[in-house]
Amino acid sequence: MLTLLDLPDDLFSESIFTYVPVTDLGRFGTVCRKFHNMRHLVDEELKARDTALIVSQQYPAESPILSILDYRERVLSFERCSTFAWEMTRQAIEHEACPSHEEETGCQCNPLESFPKLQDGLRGGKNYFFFVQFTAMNKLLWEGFLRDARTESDDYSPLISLFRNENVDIYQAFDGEEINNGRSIFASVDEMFSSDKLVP
Amino acid sequence: MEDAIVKLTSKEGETFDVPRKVAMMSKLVKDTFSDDDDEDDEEDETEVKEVPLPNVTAPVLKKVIEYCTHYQDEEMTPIQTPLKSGTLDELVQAWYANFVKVDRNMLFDLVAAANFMDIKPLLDLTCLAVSILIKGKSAQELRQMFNISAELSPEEQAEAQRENAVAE
Repeated sequence: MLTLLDLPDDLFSESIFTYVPVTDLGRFGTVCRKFHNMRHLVDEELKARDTALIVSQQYPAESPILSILDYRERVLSFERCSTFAWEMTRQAIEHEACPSHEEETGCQCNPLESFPKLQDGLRGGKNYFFFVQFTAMNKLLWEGFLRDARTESDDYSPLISLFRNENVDIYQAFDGEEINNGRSIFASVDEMFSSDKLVP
Repeated sequence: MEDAIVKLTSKEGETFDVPRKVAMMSKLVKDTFSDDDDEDDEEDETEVKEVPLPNVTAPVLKKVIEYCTHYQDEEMTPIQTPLKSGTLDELVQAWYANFVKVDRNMLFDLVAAANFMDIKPLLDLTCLAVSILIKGKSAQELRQMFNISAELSPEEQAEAQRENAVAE
């Protein structure tokens, strides 16, 4: 009978590692000497994921995500946000399928309840941030990093602030119509978040 | 040719008659056939061939054949990465999810057999199942689960933890 340690190294690097989340991959090296000595294989896997990420997301060479983060941080952040998004999608679909969804009494299921709540700026002890691209009519208006929240006040959300900012007619901008207050949404949003570009 | 039979012989010498199409899912078996064909072009293609598998025990080989047989009726959907779920049932069809719900030793034997016999979809499935065992476990939990002794020096532990700080 084989054990986990008996499996050949190339099976880990070529197959098993490809399915293991970044967080667990990083932890691998702390388990035992065999895995400790395989850290270079873990590193290669992370670099391969980073390359695939850049290609699949079509990040331009000047994209801030390529300069602010290193490859480990990039794949970790992407995975964390991706997991978040998948779970939101799953719960939203579940919510839509709820039998009482369209009744006047309202839906009894509670979507998004299982998401880790903000506490001291972290969710479940982890720092989330989001690489955001605002586009309208296929034109990139703004891109950058948004904090999930400020540590000193958990109820602050840059996205909520964006929608509340009277200088930014974001609905018009998203409809692709001209912004009649004379300010470009790019300038407004960039100004708003210039101090918030996040260092993870 | 469709009805041709291949005899797969396990480590213990037990022989399993398998339809050629099923056996050919293994690249090892396929390569064995093409090597034989190269050596003897005049050979009768309906002849029953035997392929020894000295690294695969009979119970494991039986499971491998079960997988390859089912695959002929319901092809396994390729596993998409990054994974969108942490549960097998949401990543592969129900039959395949149930197929790898076996004890850990059998699972590792299946990984090794799929690797030795070079059966890509089975290797993907079994490695996915191993990765799901690993997912979300602390180093201590992994040691307990897989009966691994902690043999890292405090310096090595500290080094690994420092390198991994960004992910925790």
